[in-house]
Parts: sequence; C-alpha cells; structure tokens
Amino acid sequence: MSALVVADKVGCWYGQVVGLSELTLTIQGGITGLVGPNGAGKSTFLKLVAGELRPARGDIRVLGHAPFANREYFRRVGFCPQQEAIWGDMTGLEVVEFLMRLSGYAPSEARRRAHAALDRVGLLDARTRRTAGYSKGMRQRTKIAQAIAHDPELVVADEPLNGLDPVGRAEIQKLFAELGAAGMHVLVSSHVLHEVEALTPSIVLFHRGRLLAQGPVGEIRRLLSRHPRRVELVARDARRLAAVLMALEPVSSVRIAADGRVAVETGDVERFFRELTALAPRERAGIRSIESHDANLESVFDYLVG
Amino acid sequence: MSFLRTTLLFWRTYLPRVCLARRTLLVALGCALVPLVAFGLLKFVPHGPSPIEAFLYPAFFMLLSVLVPLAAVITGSAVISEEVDDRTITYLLTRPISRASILVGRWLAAATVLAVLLTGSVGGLKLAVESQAPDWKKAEPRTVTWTDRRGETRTRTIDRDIPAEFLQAMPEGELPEGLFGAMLAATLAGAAVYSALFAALGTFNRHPMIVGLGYAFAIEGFLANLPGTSQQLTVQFYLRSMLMSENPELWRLVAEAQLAEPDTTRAALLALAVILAVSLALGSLVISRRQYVLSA
Repeated sequence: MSALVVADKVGCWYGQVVGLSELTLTIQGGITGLVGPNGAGKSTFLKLVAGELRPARGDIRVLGHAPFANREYFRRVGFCPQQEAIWGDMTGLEVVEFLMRLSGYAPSEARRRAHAALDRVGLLDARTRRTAGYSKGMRQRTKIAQAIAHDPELVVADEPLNGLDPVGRAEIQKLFAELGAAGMHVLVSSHVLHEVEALTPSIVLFHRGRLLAQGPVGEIRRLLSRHPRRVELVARDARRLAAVLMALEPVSSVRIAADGRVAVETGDVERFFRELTALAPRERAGIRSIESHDANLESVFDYLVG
Repeated sequence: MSFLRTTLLFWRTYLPRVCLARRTLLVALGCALVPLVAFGLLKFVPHGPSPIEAFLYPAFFMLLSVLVPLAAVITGSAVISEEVDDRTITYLLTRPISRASILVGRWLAAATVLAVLLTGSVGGLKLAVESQAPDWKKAEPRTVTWTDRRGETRTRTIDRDIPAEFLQAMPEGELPEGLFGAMLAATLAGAAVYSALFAALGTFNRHPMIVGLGYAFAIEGFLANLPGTSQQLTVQFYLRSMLMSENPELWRLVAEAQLAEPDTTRAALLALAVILAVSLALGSLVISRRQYVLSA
C-alpha cells in the first residue's frame, strides 16, 4: 500500500518563527493521531497536508498529490481547521450546503449531503439557526460536518475535540472511528495524548517543529520514559561532585564543562533527583544551583501522559 | 465546477450578505446625503445656488470626487480581507474551485450593491433638483444695514452673481439633455473600477482600507488636481473625461481648475476597462498563488 503522507525535509516558517523544521515523515493510511503541546507544529503540518500552506522547503505529497492549491486533490480531502470561525450570518445548514456547492454538487444533492453530515455529527435542531449564536461545540460539529459531507478519502481534523463536552467528545471519537472503519483515512491532532489514544494506537509526536517520535502509542510512551535528560549543576567543588554523581545508578554520564558546571545525563530524572537530594547534605559538595535543560521535554511528557 | 458557475455562486451567496452588512448601511447614508444636500440648498438657502449648480457641485465634489472612491474603498477592500480577518478563507481555499472566482464573485456582489446605491444617489440628486427647479427664482438683492463700533451706519447688498449659462441651463426645470446619463455612467464606471482596484489590493495587503483611503484621497487627490499630464495616472481623470462628454461648458464653470484637457469618452472608457481588467487579473494571480497564514 502506498503511503498516505510523505514529507521530505519539509520546512515552514512564519516570518522568523519556525513552524516545521526539516520534517521527514511517512504516514500510512488509517487513523493517525498527531500529538504535541501547543506550538509543536501539528497545526502547521495539518495545514500543509490540507493544502492551505505550502512548504518553504522540502516536499510534501498526500495521496500522491502536492496539496497546495490543488483542485484535484481538494476533491479527495476534507479539512476541519483549528480556528472556530465560520460565517456567523449563515445557518449551520447553509454553511455546509454552500461548501458542498463549492465542491461541485448540484443544489439538491448539496442540501441532502449537508443534512446527512449534520445528522452524523449530531447537530440537529440548531442547524437552521445562525452560527453566530452557536456554542463552541456546535461550531466544532459544523466544521466537522463540512469536512466529511463530500465523503472524502482523507479527513484532516485539527483539534476537533476542542470545546466539546465529554458526551460530545465521545460521539465525535466514535464518528472518527466509524470513518476509519469505513475505509476513510483520518489525520487528527490533539495536545492531549489520551484523547488521541482513544481513537488510534498510531501516533506522531511533534515538538518544537520537529518529529519527536512516531509509532504505536505504547512504544512511544516507553521511548519517552527512556529518553535521556540533561541536568546541569553548579557546585563549590565540581570535581568532587562529579565523582560522587558517577556512582549513582540513574546517571549515564557526567562531564565537567569549561566554566566549571557539572553536566549530568540521566535516563530516570525523578530517581536522579531523589538520590541527589539524599547525597547532597552528606557529601557537602556545596551545590549552588540545579538546572534541567530538557525541562520542556519533561513538561511535554508530563503533559501528554498526565 | 467551472469558473463562471463558481463566480455566479459566490455572487448569489454574497449579494444578500453585502446588502445587510454594516458598511453598506454607511455607504447608503452617504448616498442619501448627496440629494438631501442639493434639496436643502434649493429649498432653504435663499441666496444659494441655482438648480443646475445644485446638481453640478454635489455631483462633482461630493459624488464623483469623494463618495464614489470612499464607497468603493469601504466595500471593495472587504472582498478578500474580510474572509482573511474572519479566518473563514480557509474553507474557500481548500475547495476544488478556481481561487480567482472567490475574488471575482465577491467583487461582483460588492459592485452590484454599490451600483444600486450610487444609481439611487445620482437619481435622487436629479429628482431633488428637478423637484425644486420650477419654484426656484433668483433671490432679489437684499440690503443689510448695521452700525459699526464707531457709531457709523453701514450698508451692504447681498446678491449672488450667477453666470448666465447656469441661469439658462434648466429653462423647463429639467436637467440639460445627456447630463444625467453622463453623470450616472461616470459614477457607475468609477464604482466598478475603484472597487476592483481595492478588492485586488485586499488580496495582498492586510490593511486594504487604510491603504485604499490613502491612495484615493492622498495620491489620487493630489495627482488628479495637479495641472499637466500626471492627471492621466488617476482614475478620476478618466471619470471626469466621461463627464465632459456632455455639457462641457457647464462642467468647466464648476471645476475649471480641476479639469485638464479630457480624453474622449471612448478613450476614457477603454482606459477604465484596462484598469479594471488589470486589477482583477492581478488580484486573481495573487490569490491563486498566495498562502494566507491565519492564527488559530
């Protein structure tokens, strides 16, 4: 089976800010979850996949197409963007119907598809009300409806569960599962791992515009827990401290930098800090400061699994 | 879906929305003001303008020089920038349609509404003037007497010296032949060209209304009134040339300083058509190639 998405050294910037950096990635079909904290690059990646943006560098192919401004490709994809905005002076039904008309359907067919999609996402009575009065969840359902109404091969959904109550989340998760079971490919992003985990075991983890990990969620959890993290310490007697730290089990390497800082790499940061707390007063190494340089990575991990 | 069908779909969908937009209400108020001013001048100002002046001055200085570009900036600049600002353009750019049809269809809707409102304004101006013309008489000179600070009695006669061309322009109380038609044609042409220009500007500029206002009133306002061939760089020059095709002797009395040697109507129309086509083509090219980066 050919890959659904093939990204080759894709780079994307927003002025001076990096959206994606040298991203090389292949995604197979089915349901795939994109996970990462805010600003990790998930939305940028999905905008590239949806054809809203084009890469500044590298190449991206989805369903064999270069997505940006590709009309042939747009027939095969449905995009539910992250932003809440929809036309406030139209009803939910009118929004979906209008977009179906733009997808090339005749008026009656566009209306039929709009009703069917709104039924599917559970937007019932509210569909004939103006969207300006919609709750966040209703807007989310309308956005999802317009993305699936034309039965695309691929649905790209950026944070589709945002703003939905627990029941709504469960319904939309069930809907995506049904779409996947029906043979539709789904790319769905979230900054909460367990949300995506409920949908699919196949995830892609982004961090700071880069691919951090990809694969089954269980494997990624294990990978994250084994990821070495670096801690830097400033002490009165750096050599003595380095010698003591070398003896600790969670420490994999110790290095004394030119400025006298002791750089420690550990595979189990929690255990390292526990043992450090115990030995510091005993050894009288005169520790003045402790800095964890991979704190952000830790927070990513904690956030995702927390 | 073909370009034409998509364009018509955009036109049909956006026409009622443009009608109900707040900016359209603003333009409508501006359009209503022009005939009201003419009516007020004729009805309530005894030593005010003659009926033909009450048509020519508001038509030239209020409508053509201010309201047409202003209304076009207000409605034209929103054509694409509104979708960008509302972050709804994503839905349109990820559909299997020609991106140019978004610009052209939405511009057509804006231009249609502008055309209706401005036709109403020019028509209202004609009605206001013609309704007051039969009753209008040149006011008799009035002598005012007063005592100044030194206790001396002074007198002054208030009279307006109205050129004979103006006094003889509406003998039957109706506008001279061709005047209304030329004014309406110039107004509609101005609305179409300016709105296309500002709609195109909105495809690549985040603040098309500010830039458009600057262009219409600072750059064009300066160049259009500068003696010499630089006037030909402005839309106003060609609109004024269209006006001058009918009753040029009257227009010259109104705005002699503003008018250079005009083009023929055919040349003016051709120039305006080129500006309109280039604006839409450039805007279409930009929207077809540009990526619009929206925040979440």
